[in-house]
Amino acid sequence: MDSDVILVIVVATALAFDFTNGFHDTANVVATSISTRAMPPRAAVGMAAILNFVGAFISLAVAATVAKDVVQADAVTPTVIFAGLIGAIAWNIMTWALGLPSSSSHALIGGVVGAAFAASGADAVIGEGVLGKVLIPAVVAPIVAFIAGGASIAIIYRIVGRRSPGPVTRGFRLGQVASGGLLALAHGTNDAQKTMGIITLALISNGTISSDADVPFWVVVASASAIALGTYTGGWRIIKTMGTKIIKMDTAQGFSASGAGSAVILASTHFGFPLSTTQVINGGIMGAGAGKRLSAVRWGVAGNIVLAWLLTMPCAALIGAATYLVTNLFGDGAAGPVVVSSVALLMLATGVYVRREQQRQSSLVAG
Amino acid sequence: MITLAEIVETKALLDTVIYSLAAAIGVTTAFSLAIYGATRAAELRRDDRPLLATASGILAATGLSACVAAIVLGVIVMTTK
Repeated sequence: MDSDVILVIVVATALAFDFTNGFHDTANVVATSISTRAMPPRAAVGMAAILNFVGAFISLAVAATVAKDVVQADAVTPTVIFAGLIGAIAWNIMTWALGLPSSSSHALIGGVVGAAFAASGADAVIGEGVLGKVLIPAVVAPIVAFIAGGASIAIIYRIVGRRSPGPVTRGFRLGQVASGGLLALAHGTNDAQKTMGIITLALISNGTISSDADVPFWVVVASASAIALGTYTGGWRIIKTMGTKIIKMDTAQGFSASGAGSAVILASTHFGFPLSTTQVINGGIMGAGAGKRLSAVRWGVAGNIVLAWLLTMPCAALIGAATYLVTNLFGDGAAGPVVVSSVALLMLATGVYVRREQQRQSSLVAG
Repeated sequence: MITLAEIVETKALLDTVIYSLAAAIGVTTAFSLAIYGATRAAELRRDDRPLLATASGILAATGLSACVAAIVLGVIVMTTK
């Protein structure tokens, strides 16, 4: 009975993480289309939500990596997964509040690794899997997106640079609708699968399904729905950072950035690398800026984003480990997850209330 | 002692890099040619040069078809894994 209660809490927390992932990463998908006015904001966000939902059904290679290649299966308990998810959600919310586009994927993997480490020591972590399947692709993918974005914009300017700007802008605006849609699809294929992998891991550790079982269909549907809902709810803070603060984009640059991002994410998903869509699309945006001229990129903002990337896995791991230790104080039963999730919800509600009050007071002062 | 080459799936990673670059640069080139062809065709039609306008139109259609084909191929590869 206790283990079923924990499992329900873990699944609910995983879907909450998936929601924050969609909410946090909406910017990845729509920022370029909105900032170049290729699409109105609501339409762009709506299209991204639908294509994220569809994309979640396309492939399961990443889900398998998250479920099997990061931590030892025998070290994983529902409580470990719960603590890892809290670590990831906490980091996502903190970076969202600061308007920093950090990686939800690395937050999730960092949180689970930290919690497993706190529970069973260093042996619980599959170092080769974390390094080979997560960390090295995490470094390579944004660099490839940067090169692809830079090369693409150089080719575009070479081919259409002397054409009349009006029709060219209109053409790339149409192209951006397609490349933005592809990016949303790619995001759904890579990111929704991480939650599927985590829920599958929880079901295996609870003994609900066997370790060689496929991802259950209800897990696919629930994860796809949660990320789509989160995407539709949107995160305007990060859209602003990505859409206007890194570079001032024209439509050709927006097309290059989202095209490069889609290509890298789809190829990585095909080979089962759970990379950060945030890092990839930022790499594409910086490449598209640098391809025009190096000074077009606001390197200070880019530096802050890189710093957030570097901090993501260790910070989420620390929060995940701390959450596990606190949860474990209440024993092996459901009491720990119930208390910790209640406290987390209370803290979130307080944070939202304080933020609303601050906004209300600043609008009163401005008015 | 495990080497880095044993940990990293070098072939899969290299394939990812090659396919990503080829797809991004290929689609961009094809789409740019489509826009070039379309804008040039409109100009040539205005200048009453129908033969060259048709050739530019064909370039635009080919570029656009290549883009659509690349996207469809990408989605098929993803779904058949």
